[in-house]
Amino acid sequence: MQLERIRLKTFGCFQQQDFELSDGINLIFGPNFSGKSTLVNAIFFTLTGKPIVPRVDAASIKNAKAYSGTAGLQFKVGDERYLLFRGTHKRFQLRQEKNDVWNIIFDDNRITVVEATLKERFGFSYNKLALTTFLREGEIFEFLARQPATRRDILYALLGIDRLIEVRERFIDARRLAKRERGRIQSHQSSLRVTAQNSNKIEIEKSETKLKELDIAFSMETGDAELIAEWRNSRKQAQEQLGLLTQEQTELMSGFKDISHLREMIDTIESAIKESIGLEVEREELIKKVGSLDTQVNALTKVCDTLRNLMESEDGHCPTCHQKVESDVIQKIVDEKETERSQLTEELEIDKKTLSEKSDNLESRHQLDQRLNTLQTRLTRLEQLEGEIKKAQDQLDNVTKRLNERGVQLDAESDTSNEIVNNLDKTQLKSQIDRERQKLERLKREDAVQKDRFDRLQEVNAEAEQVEKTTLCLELACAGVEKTIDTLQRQILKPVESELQRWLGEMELFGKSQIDLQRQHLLPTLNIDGEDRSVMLLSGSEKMFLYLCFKIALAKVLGNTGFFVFDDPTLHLDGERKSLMVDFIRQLSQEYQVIVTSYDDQVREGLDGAHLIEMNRGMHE
Amino acid sequence: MDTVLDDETREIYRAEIEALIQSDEKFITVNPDELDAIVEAFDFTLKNGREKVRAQMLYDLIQAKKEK
Repeated sequence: MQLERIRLKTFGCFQQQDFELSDGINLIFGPNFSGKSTLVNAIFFTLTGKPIVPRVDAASIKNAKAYSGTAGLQFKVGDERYLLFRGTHKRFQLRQEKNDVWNIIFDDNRITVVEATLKERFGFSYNKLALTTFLREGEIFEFLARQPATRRDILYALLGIDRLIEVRERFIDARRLAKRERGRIQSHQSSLRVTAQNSNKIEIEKSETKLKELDIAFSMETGDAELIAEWRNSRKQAQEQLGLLTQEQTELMSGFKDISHLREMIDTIESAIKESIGLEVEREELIKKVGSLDTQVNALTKVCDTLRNLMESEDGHCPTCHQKVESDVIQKIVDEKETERSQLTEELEIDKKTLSEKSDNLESRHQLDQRLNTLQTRLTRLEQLEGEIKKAQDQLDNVTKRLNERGVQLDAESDTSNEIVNNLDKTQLKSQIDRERQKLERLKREDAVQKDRFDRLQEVNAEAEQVEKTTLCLELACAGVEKTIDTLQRQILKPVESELQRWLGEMELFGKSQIDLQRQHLLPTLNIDGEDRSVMLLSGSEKMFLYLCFKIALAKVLGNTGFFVFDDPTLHLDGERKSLMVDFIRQLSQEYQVIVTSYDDQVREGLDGAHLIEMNRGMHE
Repeated sequence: MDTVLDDETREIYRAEIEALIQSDEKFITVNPDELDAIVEAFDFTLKNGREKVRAQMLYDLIQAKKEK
């Protein structure tokens, strides 16, 4: 880009005036208050929309007599020629020359649109032009006095990594958000954890046990108390019956070791009775025989008596047959009959004795029969008792089991139920049950809530894990942006360092020196002969040359607009350094268009041959 | 600079992130999907600028990608 003309209308101290510029060196020469700086300001204002002097607004640089000031700049980019106009009232116009006609190609007053257009079309931006192309009066001191953070911001904007700063800021915001979220979740976790720890399980178990006891107690008082009482009665009766049966069994078993012993005895008696089965028949026959013998003996006695009577009778005849009776014969007969009768009497006596024995035996057998009957009756009863005892025991067991199932303490006298029963009446018991039931319900409700909270805690834990990971990712994202900024800065500043090194080498200002731009933002660090030297400790002229070289190096690397504008660069320089500056400008003009303002004759002489724009105080009046 | 800040910057950023994961134990658990999400969020912010991108968007972008 080459600047060709400056056109001013009511701008600063100028009413309406054009200034031609040429390629190479342009020296704007004149005394103080002749408008040199206004021209520099006009160029800067046209390109950026802002005055070159900080803290001066656009409106204040217009001519006091005019409603609006306008600065124009004609320049050439390649073969195309453009004309830029910018008014202090923000109006902006870009014209392009085609066939000797200036066509308006852009006309706007929206600052952001205008700046974006200029940046896109020509690469203009305030920071870039201010830091690389223009040198205004006293700028060096102001730059050195800048805060590192300000210089850093300028550098980032200049290097185009301000977008990365925006990214970093957004990531930091997101990380902050994640941390806040993490904090919120952690606090939620803590609250849920505390609640989850306060489990009601033990309380619930206690309450349930107590309620069960109270229910039993209440049931005994009301409800199925009758049933339980009946069961208790049944149990008592069963116990008593069992006792009686056991007692009877014991009595029936007296004299016997056990029931087998009784059975053995019965068997023995039965076999004894069995053996005496023919005794009655024998006795009957014997009785008959005794009867017969007795009859026979009686008959014989009678016969003998009759015979004796016959023998003793006087007529000697048989009364029946009336035959003569012979005493001898009769005596013989009587003797025979007597003998027969004696024998029969003897036999009768024996039989009678036998009969008596038989009768005795029979009597014993009858007794045995009776004994057998008694024993058999006892055995039958004992067998019945066995069944009855088993039944009674079963009944007792059954009732006891049912009572146990209902939790009725059968033997312990000091159980809670009994105590409660003893200590409380029904109403109190009922109200206590109601209270306990309410407590249990409350505990269960709380437990359900806690369970819900526990489930929620699980969810929150998972959420916390997610957020933790997101936070980590965002931390990594932030750290990554930092690193990227450093990397890009290094990548961009490295060639700037080389370029700056080259310029300083050509000027032979600092001997064998090394420049480092990485350590401080935009502030070169000098290492002269192996020793670090602060820029602040350099002389005024050294600072000036170093700063100019830095500008040029930066401009070259970042894409120079093709020209440099230096407002009085030899200010405060002695003669020798002025010559050095003149040489520097001449050298620079070999590659770029240079616009220099000065009031110094030495500079004018030094830049002999340059395009001279001579200014004087009267020219703008 | 715009070209640097587009494809090249994104690649530099990815490389820096990968280097950080390798060098810092703290980030060792970050998986490739999450790395992609971070780079995507970076690219999204770079292209759309601070004015259009809200912190919540980035948070959601990374969270959503992680949940996938």
